[in-house]
Amino acid sequence: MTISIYIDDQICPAEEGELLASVLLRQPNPLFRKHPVDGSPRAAFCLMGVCFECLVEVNGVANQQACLIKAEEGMQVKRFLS
Amino acid sequence: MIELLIVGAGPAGMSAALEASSLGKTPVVIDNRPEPGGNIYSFLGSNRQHRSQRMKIFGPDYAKGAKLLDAFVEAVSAEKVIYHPNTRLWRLDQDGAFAYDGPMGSRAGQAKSVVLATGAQERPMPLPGWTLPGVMGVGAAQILLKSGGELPSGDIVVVGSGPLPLLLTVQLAKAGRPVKAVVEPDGASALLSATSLAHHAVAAPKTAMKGIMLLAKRALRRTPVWRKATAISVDGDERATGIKFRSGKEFRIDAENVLLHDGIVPNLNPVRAANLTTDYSEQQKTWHAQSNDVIRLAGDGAGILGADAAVLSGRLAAREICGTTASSADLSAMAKQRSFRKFIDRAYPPVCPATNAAPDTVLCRCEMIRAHQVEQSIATHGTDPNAIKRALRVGMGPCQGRMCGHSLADFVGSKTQTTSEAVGLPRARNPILPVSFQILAELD
Repeated sequence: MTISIYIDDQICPAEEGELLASVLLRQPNPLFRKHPVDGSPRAAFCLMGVCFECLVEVNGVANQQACLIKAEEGMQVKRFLS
Repeated sequence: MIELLIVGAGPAGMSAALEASSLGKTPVVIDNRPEPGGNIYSFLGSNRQHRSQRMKIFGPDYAKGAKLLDAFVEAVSAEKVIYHPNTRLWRLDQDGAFAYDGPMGSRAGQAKSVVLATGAQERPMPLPGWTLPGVMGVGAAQILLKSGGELPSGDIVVVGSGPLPLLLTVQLAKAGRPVKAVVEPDGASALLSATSLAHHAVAAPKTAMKGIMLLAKRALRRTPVWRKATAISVDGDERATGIKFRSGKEFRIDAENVLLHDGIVPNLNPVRAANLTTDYSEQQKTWHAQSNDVIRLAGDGAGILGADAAVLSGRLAAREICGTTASSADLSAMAKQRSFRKFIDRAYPPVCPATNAAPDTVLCRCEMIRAHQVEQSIATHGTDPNAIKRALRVGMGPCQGRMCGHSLADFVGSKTQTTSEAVGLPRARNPILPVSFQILAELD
């Protein structure tokens, strides 16, 4: 079943039950964040909750691991791209 | 007081829970994933229900987890096992004191017994350019596919060797995304010299050998392989665009997806925070932890033996806790798994590329600490990983050393002509995961 989530305020289709990291990797620009130390671009790396590269804001809570969360209808996701 | 806390719902955790339940206990199982299954059986439940076409891609080694998974799900719905998904253990002491948080709330307390079944992770493989988007682990890519996702568009190159890269190469071909090339780092495969080991061991390694040869033949039938590659680096600016390496001469291959693999290592943060004894395994180039009176290790978290052994060791751990003797069939099956693993370890030794990391290579991804900074730090602080950590913040980011601990030991060891074992890992302390003030405030 297709659901809708919001990535940086843009509506975006997702499959119900898939990982949030999978949805983000499918975007035209599959970036998750700019690294807080040097601003280098980052994306999900380990997919098993170990590396903390896939941190995004989910429903107002910062620094959530997108590889451990399933996409849910209406989910508000913000990447740290600036 | 929780009588039995099981951390992890992979093959070892699920098996321990079922055995404990059959022996009259009601274990509490916490797991950081949204579904049970661990890494190997991740999303097996939802794939069988909703994405049956995916089952064909992953084959019988994945499907065979269904029996265990079904039994676990049934025990949970019958309330014989209490299961909390999306729940993170962030504190563990050697006496069984614990703290975790998840959708059911934030909780701290004391467990009479703990089965630590927190599994393994891929060994970090630091190469120049490995922080670029488009680079991920081979195991990571497999979990992505299992979870319903796809690799981003573009060509795929696999860097590494061993059963998992071969398996993923076959699975990606089935999924319509054939791998463009496999690059085997120098020293990554000793399959031919491992044949001498086959006659040392019992029957298992012979079938293992046959299985791997078959897998390799299938995986590499249409995929070019570069062997004995050195000076491997990933190119790119905003994301990976290709890979460079030397294999006789210099090569460059365009690729948007670069998948790395250098074997797997136990998840050591909880065992180190709980002060369990660890010993270095020369065979696996990592640390193996020992159980104490309260905390028993099961599965790959105690040393890499694979999923079948994890099921056995989960059962053995539960029996020990319940004061029931182990079955001799389980013990002999476990011995067989150990000899099987010896063969795999010999055939595919870890390369540990940090040992000769180029100066610019990022060793610590969280704090962006490069090899040359660590080398400078050795001059001032010596080989003590705690001193280097304090000086550079290496291992002090959100992953808490999970992605750099082994690399730091390997790099410092090689720069000072000592061993990774002698250097060791820096201290790991509670909390073993980042914890918000909100979680602390909500503790009940």
